[in-house]
Amino acid sequence: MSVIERIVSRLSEHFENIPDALRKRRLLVGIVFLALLAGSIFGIGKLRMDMTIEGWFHKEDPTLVAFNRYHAQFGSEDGVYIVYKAKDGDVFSPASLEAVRGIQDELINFRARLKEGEESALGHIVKVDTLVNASVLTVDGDVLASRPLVGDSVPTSPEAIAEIKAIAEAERQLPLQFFSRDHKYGGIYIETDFGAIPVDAEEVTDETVLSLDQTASPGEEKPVEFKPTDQADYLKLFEEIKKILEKPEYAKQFDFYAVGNTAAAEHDVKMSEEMGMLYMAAFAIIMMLLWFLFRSTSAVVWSMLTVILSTVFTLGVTGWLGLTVTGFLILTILLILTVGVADSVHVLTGYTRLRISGIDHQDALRRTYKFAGVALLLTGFTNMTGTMALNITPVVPIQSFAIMSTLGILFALLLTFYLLPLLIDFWPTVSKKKVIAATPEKKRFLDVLPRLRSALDQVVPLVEKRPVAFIIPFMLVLAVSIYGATQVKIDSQILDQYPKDSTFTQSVKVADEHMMGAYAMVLYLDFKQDFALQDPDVLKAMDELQKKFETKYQKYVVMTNSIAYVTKDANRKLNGNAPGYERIPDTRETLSQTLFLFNNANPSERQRLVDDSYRKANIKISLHSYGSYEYSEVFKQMRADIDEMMAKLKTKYPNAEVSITGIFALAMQAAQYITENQVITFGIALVVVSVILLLVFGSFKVGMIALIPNLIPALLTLGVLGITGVPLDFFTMMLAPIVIGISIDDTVHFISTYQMQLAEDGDVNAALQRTMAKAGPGVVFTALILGLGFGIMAIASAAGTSNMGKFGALAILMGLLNDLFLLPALLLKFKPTFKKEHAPAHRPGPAAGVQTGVEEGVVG
Amino acid sequence: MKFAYRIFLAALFVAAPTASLAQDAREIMIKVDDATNHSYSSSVRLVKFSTCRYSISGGKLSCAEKPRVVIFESFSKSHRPPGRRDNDNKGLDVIIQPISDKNTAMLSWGYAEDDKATDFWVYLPVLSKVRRIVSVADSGESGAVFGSEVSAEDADVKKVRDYTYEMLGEDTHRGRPVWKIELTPTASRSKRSYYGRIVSYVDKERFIVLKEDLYDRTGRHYKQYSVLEVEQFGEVWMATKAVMNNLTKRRITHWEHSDVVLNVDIDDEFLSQRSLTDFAYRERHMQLYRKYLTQEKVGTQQAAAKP
Repeated sequence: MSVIERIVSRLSEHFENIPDALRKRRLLVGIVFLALLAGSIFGIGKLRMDMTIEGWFHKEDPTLVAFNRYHAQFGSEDGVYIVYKAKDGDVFSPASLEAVRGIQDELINFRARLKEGEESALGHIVKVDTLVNASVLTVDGDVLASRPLVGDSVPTSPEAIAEIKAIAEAERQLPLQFFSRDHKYGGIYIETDFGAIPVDAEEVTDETVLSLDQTASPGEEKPVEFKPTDQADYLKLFEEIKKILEKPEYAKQFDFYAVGNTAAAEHDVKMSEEMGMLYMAAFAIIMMLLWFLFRSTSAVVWSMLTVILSTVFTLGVTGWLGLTVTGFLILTILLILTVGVADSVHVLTGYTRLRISGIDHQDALRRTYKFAGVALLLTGFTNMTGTMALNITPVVPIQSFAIMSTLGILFALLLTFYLLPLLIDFWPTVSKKKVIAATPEKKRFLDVLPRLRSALDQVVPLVEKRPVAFIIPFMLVLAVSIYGATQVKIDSQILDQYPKDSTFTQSVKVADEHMMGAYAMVLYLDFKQDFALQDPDVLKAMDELQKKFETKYQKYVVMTNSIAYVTKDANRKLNGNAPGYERIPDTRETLSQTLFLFNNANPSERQRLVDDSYRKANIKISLHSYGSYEYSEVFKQMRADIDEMMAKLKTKYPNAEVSITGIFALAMQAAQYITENQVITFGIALVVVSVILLLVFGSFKVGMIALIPNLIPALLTLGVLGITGVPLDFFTMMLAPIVIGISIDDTVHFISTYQMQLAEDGDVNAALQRTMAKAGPGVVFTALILGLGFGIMAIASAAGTSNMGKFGALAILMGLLNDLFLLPALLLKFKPTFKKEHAPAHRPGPAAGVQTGVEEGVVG
Repeated sequence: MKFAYRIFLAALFVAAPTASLAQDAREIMIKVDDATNHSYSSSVRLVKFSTCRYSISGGKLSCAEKPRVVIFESFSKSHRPPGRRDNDNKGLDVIIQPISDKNTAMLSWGYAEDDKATDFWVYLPVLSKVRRIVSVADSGESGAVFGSEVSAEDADVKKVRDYTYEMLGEDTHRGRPVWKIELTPTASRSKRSYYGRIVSYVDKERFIVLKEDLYDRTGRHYKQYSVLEVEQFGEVWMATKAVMNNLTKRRITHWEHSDVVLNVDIDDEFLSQRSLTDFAYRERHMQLYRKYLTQEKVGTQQAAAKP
């Protein structure tokens, strides 16, 4: 007996003894599970939700470190951009300006409306920039001042309005940020403190000790970490903003289109609610399927209880582990539902069929576990491998999805092994006292099983006539899939999270088409030398880079802004507004004093663009909305342009660094990580599953025959995506390894049954016919359960989730076709021999536990 | 009639303490004004500003980056025009560090007249231009003094008549008994102020402000000024170390007067635009006034005390 055989034999023995052992200690088992339940519920209380893009990265990831440094120095960029369309067709009309001034005042002066001690979500607002208070650098006599474009009182005379328009048009930074080219749309930018509240943001109290002498040495700044923004914070703020915007005096003047995380939050909630509904629908469908399969309430109740407990335990352990829960949570829950039900179905079907065939309750339970145990363990392990493979991607939500899903599969397995026997003992699917002799089954309402069986009976005779005729089309599908997989492109669209017709998607489009766009990236520059940004060479280089970005990437870049542009503006205005002075001053001294004056005119804006020591600065680049595929290429080119700029400054500032950061850049970086790792992820899942199959069946040939039907569904997803031009995104990229894990389940059961049947008389055709009759219905039912569980997501209104549902269901359906047609064809064609084909029926081979279980009706 | 008379008396009885408290608050602030703005007529100081972003951990506030240090010499002179409560005052600040800003000078002229805002000018030698520093009336935000968290408005003299006062109560601040007084800018001051409300903590014994909570016009607690060290120069109590903490931006400026000499003779013309533009003239006078500081160090006994 080989090592594997010994292990399988021991495990079968262990599983066989489980029901009796548990029955003896039912009180203890009950207490243990209740304690686990209590612990899990407590753990759920510790769950941390993080829906922000920052949460996608590890603390030490260089992209996030740069992002945090930028936030620490220059504040949050996680604001709300409200685009408004003037119903009178002109954002410069007195009525429009008056309405904007009203909105601006209400947003800024909200504290006046609060009662003593009352707090408001509007407290997150740091600054509100509108067409009314937009800063315009102005030289007035002997002063350079930063004046609001309109100011406290809105003029009504056409001349005054025309003058305001002329000033606004002449300013480089105002068009598109505050008004569209045709003056029909306007923009309000609300700067918040989201993402810029330090984790250890203690309040200053009378007890606060000042130790300003103990300062960080240059270049070794303290690392900064910021509080992740809670979804509820976004929602509360947006609720307050909407209350203002919906006031009749503003609503009658404008239509609003809000973009940014704050505005997206309510759509995120809608999406989560929809996912909740879909989950409930999947739950109901599965319950219905279980009822049709078993005609027993207890079977439905115990299956669902196993799933619910697995989910609760998973969430509890996740809470205890301190993992962060992200938007992928719903997918984990769905996966636990499908996998957990599949596990229960194997056990319950086996038990029920054994009972119906006349075996008494306790013996039926023992046999069920003896034969189903190893198969369950094996398929559970392959499933876990599929999900764990995702863990190599350095993107936190995918890692936590991987860990949580693996935990979920593990808990479903443990509960199936160590709780389900007791539950069946307590309330069996067939009454314990009932002694049933094998009788023909009664005809029942909507009984699909007999019809399914007769249909399945025709499969093998059909295949055995011309197995190659079945193999070829499947191989063609495989070939096309492989080709398609090579064509697939990774492209994550931020908007794919929302339905195409949602107001948020529309808002992003409006901001994109008429204004400065909904997204921006930031170049964070650190020259590591004080006053570097008072060096004309540095500012000129920045200026050149900005010009290059604006011309070379016109399709993507709407506008840019930095201290270089502000300096040019100040220089021109200080020199009588002569266009020739729209440049960086040539000497360090002149530049330094121009900056001194700008700092004097608008210290807040100066602090937003360059730090006090003139070491660090940023270039803000407003972008049109495109997917990660295009941007990954554009970013590469931009990076090369940046390097070219820095190379010129290398001799003067050898340690200077530039990072591309900002929320948008983080999203693109995440997409990049996924691109880099998806092949490896898929590869790992494939290799581990292959090794398991080889070990279990003890034959390379059998291993390969088992592998191919699973390779096709996994690659089919990628292939269809590649050929139809649908890009692989955050959602669909997770399918391949999961599909491998799920579809292997049925293959293992099928081949094991076949191995057993073959051992009986060595007749390949007869063995296959019997295998199809015994294992076929189970294979169909589990595929139906898993397929519908995933498939229900296809009706999700968001493209990302819907694609995952569609392609997931397609892959599982393909897996079923493979198991029903390709697998028999391959077995018929290649006639693989199993290691212990000659073994006696009661211990036929390494996968004996699986196959005998199937023989006795464990599956189907 | 008798009933109405009783009501009138009762109303007076209720109103009297309030009126008295308001009066007290104003009187206290007059004494503060006397102690701060009328107790000496001129000064020469060496001032150091350190500004940084900060973080607070375990109750300790420390710089999160290398602080930006500006050292400047400050000369000031004031006199009270006849029949006026407030002074005319003039000041000149000249940067000596950092080297990149050396010799950048800021001139300020404050006026005793009502509603006349203090003027601040800078001279930028390379641009050869004297420029006025923006005030709140110019752009809604007061210009910063040498890039610090101290704004021109913070550095300006607060005139008693520019505010209404309310006594909020008594308290202690860093161990010293204080009155808490709320200052609300009058309508005319409001146009020139970034602040909507200031809560001052006034030392009961010395009549100097030890702390101020500064709220912007939207009611947000924007800045906090705290005195760290007070010294006595003759009869005059003066804050020599203090911080201005911008609570919103989490930036702090620590300032200290390392050398101070009061009531010295400063030429009026030195505190004019000539000093901004005529480098040789300014340097000549500055050397002269610097001697006061050296002499003061040697000759004067100073009593230092913690606030």
